[in-house]
Amino acid sequence: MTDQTSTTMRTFDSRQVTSAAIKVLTTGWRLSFALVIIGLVIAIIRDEPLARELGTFSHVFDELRHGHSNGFLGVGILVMILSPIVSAATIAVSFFRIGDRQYGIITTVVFIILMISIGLSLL
Amino acid sequence: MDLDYSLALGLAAASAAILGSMLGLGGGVFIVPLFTLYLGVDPKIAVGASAIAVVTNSVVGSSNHLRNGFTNIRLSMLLQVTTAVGAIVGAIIAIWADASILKVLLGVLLVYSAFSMIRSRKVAYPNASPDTPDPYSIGATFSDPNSGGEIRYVPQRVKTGLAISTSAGVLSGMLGIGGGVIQVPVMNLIMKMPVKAAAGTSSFMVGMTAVATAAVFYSEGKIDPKVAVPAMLGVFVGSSLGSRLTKRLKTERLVMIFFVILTYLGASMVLSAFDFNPFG
Repeated sequence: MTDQTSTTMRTFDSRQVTSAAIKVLTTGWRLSFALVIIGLVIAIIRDEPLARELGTFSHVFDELRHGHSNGFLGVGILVMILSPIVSAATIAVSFFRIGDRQYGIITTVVFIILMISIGLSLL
Repeated sequence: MDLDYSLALGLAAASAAILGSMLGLGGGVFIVPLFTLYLGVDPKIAVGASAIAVVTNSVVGSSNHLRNGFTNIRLSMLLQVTTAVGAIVGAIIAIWADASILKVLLGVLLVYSAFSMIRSRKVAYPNASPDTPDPYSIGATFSDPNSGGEIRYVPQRVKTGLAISTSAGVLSGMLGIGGGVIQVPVMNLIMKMPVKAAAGTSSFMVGMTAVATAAVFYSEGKIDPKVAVPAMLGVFVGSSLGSRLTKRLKTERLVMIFFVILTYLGASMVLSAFDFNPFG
């Protein structure tokens, strides 16, 4: 949307926005599944028990640094959770790039709300 | 790790995703009842795992919907403002609410879904003309793979859609479901969007809605990898299978079968909230 005074239907060239979203989501689920599969293989080979909860961010990344299955599984789950948030950020930037300020701002608001939900989880 | 239990959870999640994708409801609606009624998972852990599964389904599925042009990104962002706020509120309520309340709510929602499926009309609308008022700049076009033609539409009654999205968000947050059960009929019947665009836009939105739920449940230690990982993998496999099976099976008969399944699961959830286990 470049002309906000227009009230009739218009079509927009949103390919940049769409392709940015596709890239982020596809990368997100591929990375997440790769980490989860690695974690499961390690758990089976080493007969490691799976944790009953993920734990804090620092705990999850500590586990990953030490090559524990729970680290890979935890980061895999977190990557999946974060994928839609990263896609919101990317979409906001793409809207601003194509000159659509209104939806750039709306998407930024969505991103902020999602970040607040993450922020609440860290309290 | 307990492979048998993980496999059982994975199979249950895959079954949920197969059923969900056949009905266009997503797997979330079925995961919580299957996990709690058959596999003895704590309802709150099941809601947390369901939220992760819903995010997975959305992230994987949206890539395809976006490629096909079914997702209206502007509309999804507009509706997501109120939906995400509702989801945070719903998830906070769910953490403090008694588990039996969640069971009753989900049971009622399942029965509602069963009846709305029977009554659903899936209305088709004529193409919007270039002069159609579009004050929110959310008009869009996509190529219909069935007719081969270009479909143009402008979502209507946006304020009503925003209001209903808030309640869809609250329910999603409380129950770990995606919210597609509510969003798709609202977009199709109230906002007058083509079904494919409604499903594609809803699929993209539910991932973001479930993120808010997943984050709150994560903070409360209710994301159990033993349950969430099989749910993720099961949903991934099940939704791919479900979408292939859907093309081969007749919809009318399936709707009747699923009406019975949804009603049965819904009634079982409500009864189990009162410590009456219909499975003995």
